[in-house]
Amino acid sequence: MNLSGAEARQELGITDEDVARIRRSERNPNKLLLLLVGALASIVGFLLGYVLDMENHIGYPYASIGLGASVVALKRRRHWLALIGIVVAALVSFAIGALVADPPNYGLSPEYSVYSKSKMMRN
Amino acid sequence: MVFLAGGGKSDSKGKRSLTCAVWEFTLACNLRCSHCGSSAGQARSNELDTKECYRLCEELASLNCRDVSLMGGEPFLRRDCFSVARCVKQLGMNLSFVSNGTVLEEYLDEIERVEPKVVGISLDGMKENHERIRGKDTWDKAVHAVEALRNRGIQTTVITTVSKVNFKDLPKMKDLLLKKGVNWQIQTAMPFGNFQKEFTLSKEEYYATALFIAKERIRNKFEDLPVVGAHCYGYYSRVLPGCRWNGCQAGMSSIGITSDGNIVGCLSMGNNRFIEGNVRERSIIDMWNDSDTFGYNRKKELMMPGSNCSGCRHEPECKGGCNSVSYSLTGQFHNNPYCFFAIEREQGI
Repeated sequence: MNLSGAEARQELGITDEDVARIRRSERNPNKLLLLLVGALASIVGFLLGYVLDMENHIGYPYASIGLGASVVALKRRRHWLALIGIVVAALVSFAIGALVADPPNYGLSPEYSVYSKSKMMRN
Repeated sequence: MVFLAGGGKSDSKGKRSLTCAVWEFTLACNLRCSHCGSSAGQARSNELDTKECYRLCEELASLNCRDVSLMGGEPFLRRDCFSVARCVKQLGMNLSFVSNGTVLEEYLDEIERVEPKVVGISLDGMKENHERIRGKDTWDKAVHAVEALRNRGIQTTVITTVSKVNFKDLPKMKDLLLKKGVNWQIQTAMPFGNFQKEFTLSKEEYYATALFIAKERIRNKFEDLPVVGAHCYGYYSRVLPGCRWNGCQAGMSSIGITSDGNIVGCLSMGNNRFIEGNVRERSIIDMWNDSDTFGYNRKKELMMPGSNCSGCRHEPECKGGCNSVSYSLTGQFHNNPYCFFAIEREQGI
């Protein structure tokens, strides 16, 4: 006689909480590793941006892309989610760049920034 | 969860690297287990003699084979078992044994001297069901063998082959093995050899067993009970951890050797159709490096997925799961119906 899935799980002492825990373990294979690699990738990305253009804060998008790439590497089985994560992270960091930079330039060099153009037009 | 057999890659000259040789050292066995895939009992009439075994070891070493597993039958029933085991070690390969544990205690000193990487002992449930499968007065001996090996500091793996007969024993077995310093390998009995199809786990039972393995891996510290599912547990689950699979490794990174010298991709394929040759007639090196051997896993044109796997997005990587399970259940390769991804899709998990 074949047992149903629920009967089989019951025979082996598997509860719904166990299944939920297994699911969580699959989705978060190693949170600490994710955090460490993400942080490292962010630092490398930021340093790259710093070297390229310190004043214009273009390191933020690089950092976020680095972070996103590490997410892809660690969660290879969630490609779409990782891709959305990269896009969202890039947009957020762009916004941060725009707010923090002086003058705000959305991560582009000053000559081509919206701010510079409007300033040039005013002049 | 699964043994993710890596490798199977070829070097710059197109030669594949052989990682593991599973050697049916003799078909002789003192037990007549109802699920034995080899239908072991009597030795084959023309088993390789000691000299032929030595030559085979040398050929395996020259292929840079990393691991050699001596199993049976019952490997310790052959008198030259330890001579050949020593040869394996002297040639720089890792050695392991798989035994039913009933005669092992007589050979503990020799086992210890030959320093195997691991010794696998079959334990198929608690006493009642183990002996229903393996025969009377076998459980105590197997349990004592596990304890004796552990007491001597020899790495030991308890191997449990699960069917409808012993499925419900798994939680009690976990209690028995927890914190005993042994590994636990769980595998599913498939209908070949002595095993009757009616005792095969249903997909639901199979999946529940996989959940059990995952649960115990999460719940217990790894050193308290390292539990693993064998190659028959996979693939690409959205729930169960560690289920990537890069294809059946038969003839890709591993081979099976029967006691009369036949070479197959995997001993669990259990069909004479898949014999690539015999070491008495042809060197195993030639067979391994021949582009025409092991075609079912090496030649794309012979690797068409069956109906269970056709169209699956994981099929190009997975290649239809374990071929011995696939063949025993469906009569064809690359068509394994016991697949986590498919079961979860069917059940809406």
